[in-house]
Amino acid sequence: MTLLHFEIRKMLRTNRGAVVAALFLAAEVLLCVLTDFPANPDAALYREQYLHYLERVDGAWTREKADFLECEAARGADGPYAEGLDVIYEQYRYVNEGRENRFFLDSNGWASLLRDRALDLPLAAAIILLSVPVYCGEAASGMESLALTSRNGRRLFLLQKTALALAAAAALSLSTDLIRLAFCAAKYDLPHPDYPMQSVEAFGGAEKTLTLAGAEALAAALRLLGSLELAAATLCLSAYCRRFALAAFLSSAAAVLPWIGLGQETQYSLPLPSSLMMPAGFLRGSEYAADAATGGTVAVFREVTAAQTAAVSLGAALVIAACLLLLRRRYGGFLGGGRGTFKKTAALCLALCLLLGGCEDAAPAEDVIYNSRDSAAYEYGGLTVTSENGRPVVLDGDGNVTALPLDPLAPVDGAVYIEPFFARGRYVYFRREFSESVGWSLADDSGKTYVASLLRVDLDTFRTEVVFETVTQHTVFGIDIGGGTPDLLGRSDFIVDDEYIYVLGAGGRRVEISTGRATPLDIPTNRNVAYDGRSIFYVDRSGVLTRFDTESGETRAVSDETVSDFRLTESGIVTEP
Amino acid sequence: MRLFRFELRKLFLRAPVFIALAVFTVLDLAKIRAVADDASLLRTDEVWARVYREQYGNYSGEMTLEKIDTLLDIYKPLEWITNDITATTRSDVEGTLTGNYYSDRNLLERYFVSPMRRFYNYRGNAEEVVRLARENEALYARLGCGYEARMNAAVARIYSGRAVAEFRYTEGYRLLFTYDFSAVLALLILLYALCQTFARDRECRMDELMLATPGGGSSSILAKLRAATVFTLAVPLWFSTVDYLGFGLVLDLSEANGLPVYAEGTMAAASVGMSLLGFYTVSALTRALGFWALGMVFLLISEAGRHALLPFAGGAAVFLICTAAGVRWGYSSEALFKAVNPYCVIINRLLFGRTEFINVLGAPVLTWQAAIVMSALLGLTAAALALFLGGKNNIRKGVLA
Repeated sequence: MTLLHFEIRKMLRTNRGAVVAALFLAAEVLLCVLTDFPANPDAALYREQYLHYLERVDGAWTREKADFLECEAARGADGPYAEGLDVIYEQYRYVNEGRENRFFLDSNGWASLLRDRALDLPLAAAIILLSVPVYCGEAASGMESLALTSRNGRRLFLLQKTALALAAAAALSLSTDLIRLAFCAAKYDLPHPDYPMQSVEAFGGAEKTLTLAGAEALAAALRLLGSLELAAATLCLSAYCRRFALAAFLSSAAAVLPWIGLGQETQYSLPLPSSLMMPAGFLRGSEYAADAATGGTVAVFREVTAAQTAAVSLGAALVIAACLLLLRRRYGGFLGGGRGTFKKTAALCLALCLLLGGCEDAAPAEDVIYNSRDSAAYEYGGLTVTSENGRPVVLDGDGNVTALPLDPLAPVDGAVYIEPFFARGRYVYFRREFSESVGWSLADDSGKTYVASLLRVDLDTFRTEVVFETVTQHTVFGIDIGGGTPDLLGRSDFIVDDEYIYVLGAGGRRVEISTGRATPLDIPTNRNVAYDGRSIFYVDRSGVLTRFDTESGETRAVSDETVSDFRLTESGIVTEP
Repeated sequence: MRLFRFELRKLFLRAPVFIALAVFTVLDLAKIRAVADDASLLRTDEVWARVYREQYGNYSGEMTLEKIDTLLDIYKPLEWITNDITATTRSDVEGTLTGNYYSDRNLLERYFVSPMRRFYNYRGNAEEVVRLARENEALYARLGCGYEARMNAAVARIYSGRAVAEFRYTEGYRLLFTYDFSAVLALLILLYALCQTFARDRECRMDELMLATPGGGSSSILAKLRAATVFTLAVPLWFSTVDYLGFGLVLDLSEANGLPVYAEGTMAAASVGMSLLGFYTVSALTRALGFWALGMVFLLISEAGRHALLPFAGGAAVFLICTAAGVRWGYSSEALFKAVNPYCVIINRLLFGRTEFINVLGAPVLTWQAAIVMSALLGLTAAALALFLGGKNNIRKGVLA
């Protein structure tokens, strides 16, 4: 017992396993918080409205539910729950295509839980860092030869060290699952674990029969197996290489290179630690994409059948067994010799300082009068801002036209300006989008990058700066990292103040400029929308002129009577009954 | 000099390093083949490849109105009959190139019409950029915005006179420019070799012994730094050469060697104007510089390690953080973040491929110029720190002993 205690102590303290584990847990939590985004952003943004409809139709497809949704959709998406209806109707169309195993479900939580966008690098790194020193440490300090001559030095030495390292790998893998479960449950909720896996859109094409809970259990088991395989391979490599550098190099290469280098289908047909540690590939159905050249459909991923999954698992188990046998051979046989001691050196801390761009305080805009009806042109100090052939231009008092001095490179890099613009005081705001595709053969998102920027031009100096930007990049090192921030700027009318962007109309939202966080905003644009620098005025769905105070966030009616339209002028609001 | 040669042999010219290099070179070539097969239809479709070879001779070389007219004479009727999907889908139609109307149209569109259109239009687009930039320059000069005026003047200078005069096959270069796998391979080898620079001496207690010799202390560290410099420059350059030869073997690169770099679609907004081959050389050298800077940081970490594991993990973590930052800011308008990140110097397509400036005391400096200077500074700082910290520690130890 004391020997085992000593081994644990060696792993956690001497080899700094405790530090590695703590860093790993912190990295996992950070990864969840920083890289997670909802699979269905609209369902998350308009959650309340969406759940209102979902309550009625939750569960399997029935004729009554279908009739209800068709009726609601036919009645028109006008009302307080309009956005929710759009979301549920999209889901209805999805469910309709596979009525027997696609259920109505708030699937964002399960989608986030079951999806893996990339190899879990903190997990792989932690397993390697915990496993490499187990035998390399003994070899480097020369204790190995001494231990092997002692009574407990052979079988027990091997047994305890190997078992401990494998247990550590298992614990790391399971804690990943627990962290992800807790995170998804807290952020989205994980309802109805007994619904079929196909209810989540990412797995809609799968032919396997699994419940959501079953899919998660299978994924956790496969990830555990992959972690054990990586740990066993690392142990084996470290026992034979005896050098830290070589063992770490070879095990990292074994973990990372197949993932970056091999095609998806090859990866999931081989018992590789990297593929088992990304188990979503074993659950997904076949996927097809359009060929950009011929327009035909090509399979980009073929479903891994249950039998193949079993074969891969068996292969991984065999690899683990082979590694253990090799370890036994290594320590049952000759006594190795390398000698040498290490000097303790103080750890050097590298502080990485990120330089943050200085923030310039924007002067408060005074006397704002904005009417969405007039947003095609804006006058300021004798200048008129409008757009000509898709490019914003300025007309001076004599009618001379000058292009707004935005990025002059648009003709070659293909950046496009999206109308309409928004103006407030001396600032004019423009949306610009830029996309680039480096992939050629498929018409899907691989190799695509999409950048949406909000530019602000100061009409006094014509200085231009980017106020807000979202970048959606799909591929890094040839690996599909999937999505990113959804486009938050939209294409309809919008209003900008110092803190927020208000995107109006259907799918409206309020986006915080500093964080990019979006909250739903319901302002219909079928009539005029006005902004006076503090409040947004609009005609709500029942025809009442309403005021939304952007500072207090409260909405109230300006008057009780219904209006057909209105305008904001310098002297006040002019309504048209 | 003898110390340098000794360190080079001890640290880098070793069997495991050479075996790793050989294995990774084979992996690299296999991946290049897979990428080309995946992306180029001339690799997978034999009929297309044959027709392309036959037709290429008719259109390659200087673009004349005659060639464009000949091409459009074939293409326009095809476009007409395929647009309303009434053309026959038989695959043995007489008088077609590939035997099928749709296939003909797709081949011509993808490999002849659209690249030729892009090449032909480039001159006009560049002229438009120059016109807009000059307009902006005049406006800003009138308003007294010095930096903005200078920046637009620089844009006008860079884009004036740009034109693509010849039609050449550029698909190979496109794939070469967007191919990043070899950077990961080079990184792994560098991590492996560099993380033991100091750890190996410490393992066999040579570090203490060396302090007692005239060549020990800072002069041996200097020799290590020099050996590491040679190695960190050689490995990325080796892989860049392998990439070029690999893509040259599976797709024809030599055809487009002399074409200006902005002829390639993803490089249309490039801030440099050299030939494609010249640009690839510059890009490879810049990548080597980025690896050198990272390598010096790895060495600095290696000095702190009790054994080679911590430097390996630390180096990998530094690279991952740089990668994450590079992905986050690679396409962003915050040009400064690109200039300070070694990842952007290693994967430098976006650095050269976009015309972006950084305001350095009122002077517009192109991002790639700033990034090269920053990388050199980072590498030199890390090397100086390694020398300074290592030397000082050893002297103190020597006194105590």
